[in-house]
Amino acid sequence: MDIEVTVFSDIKDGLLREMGSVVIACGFTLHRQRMMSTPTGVQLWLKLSGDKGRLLELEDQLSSHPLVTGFEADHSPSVQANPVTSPGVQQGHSATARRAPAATPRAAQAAATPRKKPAASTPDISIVEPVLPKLAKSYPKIFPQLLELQQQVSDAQWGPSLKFIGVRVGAWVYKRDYALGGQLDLKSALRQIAQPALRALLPAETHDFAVHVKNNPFCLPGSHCRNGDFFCGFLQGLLHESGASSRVVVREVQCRSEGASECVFEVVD
Amino acid sequence: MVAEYNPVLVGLSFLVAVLGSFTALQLAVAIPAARDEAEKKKAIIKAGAAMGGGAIWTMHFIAMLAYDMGMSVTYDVFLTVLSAFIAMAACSVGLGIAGIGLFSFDKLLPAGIFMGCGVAGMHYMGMAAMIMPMEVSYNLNILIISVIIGVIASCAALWMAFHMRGKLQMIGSSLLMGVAVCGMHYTGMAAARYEHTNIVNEAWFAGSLGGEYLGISIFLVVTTSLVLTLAIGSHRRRQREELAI
Repeated sequence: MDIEVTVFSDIKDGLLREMGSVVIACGFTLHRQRMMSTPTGVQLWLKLSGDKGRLLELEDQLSSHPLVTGFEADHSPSVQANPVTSPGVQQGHSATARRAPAATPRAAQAAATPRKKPAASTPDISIVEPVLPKLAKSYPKIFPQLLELQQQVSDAQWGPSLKFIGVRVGAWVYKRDYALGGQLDLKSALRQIAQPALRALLPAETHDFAVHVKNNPFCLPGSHCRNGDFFCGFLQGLLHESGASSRVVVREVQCRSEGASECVFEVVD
Repeated sequence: MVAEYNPVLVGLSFLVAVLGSFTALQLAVAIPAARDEAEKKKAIIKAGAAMGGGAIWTMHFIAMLAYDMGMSVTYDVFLTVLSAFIAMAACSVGLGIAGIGLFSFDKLLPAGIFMGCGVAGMHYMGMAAMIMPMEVSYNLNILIISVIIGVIASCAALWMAFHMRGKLQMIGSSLLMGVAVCGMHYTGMAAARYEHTNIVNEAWFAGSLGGEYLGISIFLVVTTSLVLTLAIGSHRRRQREELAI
């Protein structure tokens, strides 16, 4: 299938190379690209083709890449490719479309059907970035600070911001505590790396490719909020950095805010 | 021949094996994190040298000093040095197999075989380096068991070092490798039978390594291991503190 994506970034240098690596790693082919300056950074438009089954993975990898502050995808590109900055798109603000992870294979199938993605929120980098060193200092007691942060970030940006923080914290924890040792397959990495790393934060268990988190502080029972973004990002950051798989996608399949006894995250390679 | 072990030196030999293994495995677990081929090669050679020289070779000769045979024993320099090289080379290959690419059970056995054979090769070469008025023969069954102990315990140590993370990885793998080295050595010693030849050829002792020189060599290797261990620990602590999120 053909797809057009637009990524927004603060940083021009190395952006094309990084995006190209992600595209290749996901099995897609890059046909055309165009980079344009915006008042707050750069916008990179890419025309790609590849396997529809790996679209979710591609979008997740691109949108959660540390260099990317905004992301849009068009699954039904026009014959004449025409990258245009969306009027409402502003870097670091309400720029992007980030695909919400599908909870079931059927949902994933549905999500992969061609459609123009609506603009959604991106992480609020200006607020989140200065908080990260403080989180590192107080790690593993980071939840009070994260919950406090919720007051400063708009509701639309809260989920992506949490995921962004999760990815950064996960990658940092891996480098700090788990980098020394053999390169593990995904299942072993979950048991040997993700489980102890999560347990430093709160009670957690792994069963094959499912991670069960008890007492997720972002999801209060009955709130119907499904706020597992931090843990999705955290696991993704850990597992990407460990080299277990560069294509790993983490999604929340059960949430205690919706009546489940614990939040369950599925790790898909 | 009636020979006996000095228990203090036996305990010391185990301690040295564990200390050397700790240093070597801490160097080895950094192999997968190497950024390029040259860095990878360096890490493998360093780890292999620390394991072969620091854990295996030193342990063997401390254990030999612990074994009082009631006569003076010297060592052929060439064979003694060769024994260290055998251990270092075999351990480098074993650690290289375990450390490069995805760590899996398929790699564990060949890596463990190299490590175990490195321990055994060093031991029996070290035994062959002994110069004394006695002939040594071996009980083949016990000899085979000694090699198997070395291989199995090495596999377990490698699995713990490369598959696990945290304190169990650091301490457990060193202890298991210490068991591999000492288990192989003392079982190998039990396989040996000594027969007096009553022939003392003065020419044998030319260019041989006496007990005092051996002691100095062991002291140097142990001190280096200890300094390396402390340096690795301090370097990693500093790295952790400086790591930006």
